[in-house]
Amino acid sequence: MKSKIINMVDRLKDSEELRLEAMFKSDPLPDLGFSKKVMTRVRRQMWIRRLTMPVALVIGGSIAIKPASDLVITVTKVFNALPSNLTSLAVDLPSLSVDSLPQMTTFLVSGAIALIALGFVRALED
Amino acid sequence: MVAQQDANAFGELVRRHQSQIRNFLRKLTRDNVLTDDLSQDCFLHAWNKIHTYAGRGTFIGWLLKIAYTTFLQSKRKSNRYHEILEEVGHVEDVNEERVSRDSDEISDLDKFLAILTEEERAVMILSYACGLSHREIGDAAELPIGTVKSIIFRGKKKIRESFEIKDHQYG
Repeated sequence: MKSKIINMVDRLKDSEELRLEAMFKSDPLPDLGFSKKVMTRVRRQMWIRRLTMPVALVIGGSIAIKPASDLVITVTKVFNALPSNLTSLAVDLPSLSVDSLPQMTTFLVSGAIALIALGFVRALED
Repeated sequence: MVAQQDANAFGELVRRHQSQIRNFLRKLTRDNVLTDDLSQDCFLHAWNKIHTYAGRGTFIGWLLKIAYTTFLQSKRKSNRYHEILEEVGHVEDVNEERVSRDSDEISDLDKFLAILTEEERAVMILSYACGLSHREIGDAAELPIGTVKSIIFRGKKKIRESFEIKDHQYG
């Protein structure tokens, strides 16, 4: 109610107000393909949005698949060793090839590349 | 499918409001090409933020707020660009280009708007060209209502002091 009263007060016009309105008034602009251009950009953006996540997943997945599979293999080996004999595990662990363990740097680089890919796709979108 | 329907509905909104948004930006920028670029950006921002429109106030008020923000962002970028050009000594070319563009067509309204500051110009256009209430202008320009009223008062005073307001018809 209060805001309605304020709006009505705002709208009270004297002759100067009306003259200013007439001066600022302009004819409606014809569309001339403007809406079509906007909607083309909107639809393009929608497609890029839809593709962003799958593309990022494919890029990130293809980079991370090797270290991830190495990790799975190593963890499986460790879990297989555990139930048989905990004492022998202590002896067996050093025998596991160090090369088969996924390196932290590989994970970090993969993550960074995935993030950059995401950022790149977002930048393309913008 | 739902997204497609949303896009179609948004297309209708663009068709309905494009004239007001482009007229607002045209008065602010006085550059038709820049106006169309900024208007497109404005509608694209609106599409991305449509979920934030809570139905408080008019839709055109909300769109004009986005248009004004888009204009200010573009202005900031452009200022930075001119600073860089000044640093590398290309400022004369830019000024010549601006003069030739501005001197193409100077209407009465352009003369009126030229004596106002950028903020006064935006508020006066929102009030007299777009017909927004003081509250809506406050929302669009992120200013308190009292400030909006004093800006309009100051703008009118400047116009009154500089020109004799007659029955003008812009165009």
